[in-house]
Amino acid sequence: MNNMIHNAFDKIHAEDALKQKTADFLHERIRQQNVKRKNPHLRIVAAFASFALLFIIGGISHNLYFTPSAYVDIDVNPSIELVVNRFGRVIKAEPYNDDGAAILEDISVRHISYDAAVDTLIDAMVSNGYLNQDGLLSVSVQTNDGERKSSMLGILQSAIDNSLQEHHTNAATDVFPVSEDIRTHAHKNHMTPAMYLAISELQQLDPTVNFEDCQKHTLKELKQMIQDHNGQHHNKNHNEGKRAY
Amino acid sequence: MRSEVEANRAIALYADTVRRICFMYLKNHSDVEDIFQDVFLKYILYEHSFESDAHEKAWLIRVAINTCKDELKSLFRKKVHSIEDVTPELCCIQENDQELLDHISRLPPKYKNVIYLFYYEGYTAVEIAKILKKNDNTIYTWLSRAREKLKKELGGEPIE
Repeated sequence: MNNMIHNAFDKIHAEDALKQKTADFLHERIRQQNVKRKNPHLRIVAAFASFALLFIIGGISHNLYFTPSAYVDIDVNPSIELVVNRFGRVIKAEPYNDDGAAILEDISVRHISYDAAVDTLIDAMVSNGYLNQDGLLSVSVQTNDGERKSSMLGILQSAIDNSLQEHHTNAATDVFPVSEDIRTHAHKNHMTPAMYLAISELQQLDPTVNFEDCQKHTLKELKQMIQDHNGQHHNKNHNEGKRAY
Repeated sequence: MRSEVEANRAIALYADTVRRICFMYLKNHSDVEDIFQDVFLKYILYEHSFESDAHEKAWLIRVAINTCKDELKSLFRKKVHSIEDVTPELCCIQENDQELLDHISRLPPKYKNVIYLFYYEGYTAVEIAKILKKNDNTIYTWLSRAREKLKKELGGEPIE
């Protein structure tokens, strides 16, 4: 019986076709594995390259987005400056006095368009009683792109008019462009270009006034002081039309 | 992963052994093919070295048995088929051999394993215990019971 079992099992052999098929299957698996193993560095390099590319694109995008391209300074009192990028988005909102800081404490205008930001700020200023019927809203625009400057002035004037209309406010508005030089001088004195220009104008009429004292006044008060001086010395009326400095 | 040369060598050396184990468990040709390939795939993926050819063969036997058992866990394959269902090449086995193999394949897995390993591969009970990771006495018991069962199936012919 022992031999019978042995002899019976001995008749069983793996078929040639089965062996060949299995060999082919294994060879294919080994080749696939070898291909994967041959290029491990290439895969790592590709992964790093993708990561680096993403990093570079991200860096460039970040840089483009956060590079200032224009400045919109709003003065009612509160005084606030909006730093605008090339895409027309506000990337920074800087207060120039305590009232400006108080306004920005409650609202955020970052990453929205500059006209929407101005609209939001007007809302807040009206709501908080800073801008009323006989108020003065002064907005200056500084950018080195002449075409953009004109476009921004038009968009801002339109946004301001709509906003004031919605609030049924007849406050005077003054939207005007300023040069980089004026804005730089204004910032050195920690004030908006509108304030800086008003104080400069006043100083020409009355050399005894200084910046420190004048900063205590609102823009509207400064304008009134200029008007008063003009009335006294030149008998001229103040013109609130559009100007360029 | 092992090389193509190693794969070819294993197939040349152990194909019949694996096929015999598949024969005891599986009668459907496509199942045999799947398990046969699976066993040798496990071999080329096994990254540890073997102490000797005997160790390598014992490893393949254990893997083949376990792979066949796993396959049989499927409800559809739990029924043991007659060897008449087997592949054409194996149908050339003589009638008395066919009957004997049919009886062996019908034994419970533990009994047919020890019958095959003891009577065909020539392993001792102690060696079988190591391959199957069982106690020596368990193997002696299984061998004894397998013989009894087979003897009964074969009409009382003694198995030594």
